[in-house]
Amino acid sequence: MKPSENLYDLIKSLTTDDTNFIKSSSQFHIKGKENKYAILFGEIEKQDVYDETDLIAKLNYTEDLNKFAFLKNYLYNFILDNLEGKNTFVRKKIRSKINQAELLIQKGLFDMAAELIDSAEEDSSKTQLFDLWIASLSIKKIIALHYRKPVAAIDKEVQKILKAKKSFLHYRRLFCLVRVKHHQSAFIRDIEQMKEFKEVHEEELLESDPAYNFHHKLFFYLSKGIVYYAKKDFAKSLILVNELLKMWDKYPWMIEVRFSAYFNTFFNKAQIESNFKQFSKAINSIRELNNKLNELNKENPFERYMVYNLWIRVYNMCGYFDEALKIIDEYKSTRDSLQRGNINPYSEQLYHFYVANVYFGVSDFKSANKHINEIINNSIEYNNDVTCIAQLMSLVIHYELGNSDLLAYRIKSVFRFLNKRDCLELTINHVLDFLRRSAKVKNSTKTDKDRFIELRAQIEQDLKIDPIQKDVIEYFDILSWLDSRIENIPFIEIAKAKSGHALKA
Amino acid sequence: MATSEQLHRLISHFTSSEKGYIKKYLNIDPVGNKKNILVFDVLEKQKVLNEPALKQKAGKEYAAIIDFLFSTALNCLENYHKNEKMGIRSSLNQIEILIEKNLYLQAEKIISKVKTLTEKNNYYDLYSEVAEWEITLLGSKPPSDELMKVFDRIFDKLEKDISKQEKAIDS
Repeated sequence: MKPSENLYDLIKSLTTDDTNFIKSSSQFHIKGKENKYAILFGEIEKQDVYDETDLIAKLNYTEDLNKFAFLKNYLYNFILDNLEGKNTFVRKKIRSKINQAELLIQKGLFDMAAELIDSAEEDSSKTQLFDLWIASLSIKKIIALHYRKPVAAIDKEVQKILKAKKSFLHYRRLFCLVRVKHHQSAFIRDIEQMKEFKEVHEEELLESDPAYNFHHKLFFYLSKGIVYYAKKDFAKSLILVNELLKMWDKYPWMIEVRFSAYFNTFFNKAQIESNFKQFSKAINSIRELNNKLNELNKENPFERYMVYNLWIRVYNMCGYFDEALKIIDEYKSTRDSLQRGNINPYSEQLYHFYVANVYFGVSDFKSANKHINEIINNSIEYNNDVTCIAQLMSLVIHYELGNSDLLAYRIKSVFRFLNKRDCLELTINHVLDFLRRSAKVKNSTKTDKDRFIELRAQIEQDLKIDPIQKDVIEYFDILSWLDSRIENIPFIEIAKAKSGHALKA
Repeated sequence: MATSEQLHRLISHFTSSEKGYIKKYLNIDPVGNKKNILVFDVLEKQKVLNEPALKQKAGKEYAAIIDFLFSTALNCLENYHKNEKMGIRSSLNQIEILIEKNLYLQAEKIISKVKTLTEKNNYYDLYSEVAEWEITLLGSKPPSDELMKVFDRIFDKLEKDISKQEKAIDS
């Protein structure tokens, strides 16, 4: 069995500050020589790849593997305990006050416990953390009963919080469902008729009291934002993002409580602006998001990585593949700095898809092929659209590389794959037809101009018949590719011109 | 009540092993003031609070030292004792740390452990906190109809728990 790398991953995720704290805490248990677990910590820190055999040999545990397993487990818990001790995030502070109040009650120190619990109640009500708020009030009730004080007001407050929590859960659920649906596929017709989208579309905010509705509002706006975004009503999406920005301005202490929502607000802002074809604004918003991460000392490499993802996407959307190429090394190195645990199918799929698009944009088809193959061959699956478009792009790349034999062979399997995935949109079907015919011609790169013009006209027609076809083009700009072939102009020039040279200095 | 009085009262309620734990902590605190230990030693021996004696040891930093010792005493007390609920709260802190570091699989392991514990004991508020992190992590999974069902199950349980809590207050 492969040894667990949890300890290695945890140590590698530590910041310098974390490491220094843990090292100084390890002095707590020193008797004589350095602790075994401190030595193990140091040895793992030095490793670039986890090598358990080397560690066992260095620490002389070859004859006693159970003891080594125990040591690993001890060190893992020691690190977690220390990180917990060091952290000052708001939930932990409130939990700590609750714990301490409980212990003081056990010692009969009710007055001291009351002070602590008042403070916990204040913090939890300010941050509207309902569960911690209720936990604080339940201790407050014990103290009140001890002093024979009335508890009806406390019960009433708990009832009110429970009611608010119920409304919050309603929006939280809607957000989860609509987000899943949206991430599954963009190729959804009659989006307003779909149960998940319809429910959110018709929703109005239930809880109006601002002392209880921050989290409601947050998920209400986020859910509605997804619906408008899916409907391509970017004007309304932007209104919602602006509402969210106002909320963060008004309640800055909530940034820590719901950091991922805060991150997503700026992320979505840039995303919507780019869909609105406001590419310069989108690039500025991405820079702003990057600065926010610096200001808040956010060292999580995954958030940086997602920023690069978006950055590359925006450059790709407006045809500035050359600009994307300039930051591609930083993009790659940010991805390389991610720990194993950071990598998920979503981030991986996007990475390879965006990088493939950059290389396709600068006509480096071999590199584009390499990244598309990463998606296809390794079955990196998250979004069904990307999985399907990657298959189509792969065929176009082979066409560009002049691999006509391979092209003829692959078309059938791609057709079956897309059919099975319910992804054979009109446009995709027409491109497949075109490639099938091209593969029959010996030298496929010398297909005559008329056939490109014919396919272009067909796709234009598809777009008139079915608006969903626009989504296909948004993933992979087949029209610009056809224009570049028809007019014999590099793809990048056509794409830039199409965006009106959006990022022109 | 002044902090010095609160601290004196608190320490006088500590067992000898709790006091020993605080002393050990003060001794290894790498950034701690040496006077912290001196003041604690004097305070611990006082049956009745004698502030002038403490001030003599602490000098000008007296107020800061007393504040520090009070919060340290509470923190040490918390670290020294861990009952089941405190253990779960500690796990919740660790889940948040692991998620912050994007170590999702490790966070999932702790979630699954404490979820069972909170469900079994009907710790509704703690279960709800665990569920919030579980929902966060599920958000990073590939989207599927099955995932939507999982979300529904979690939210249904949370809503049922609220009804139970409401009923408990009414009765």
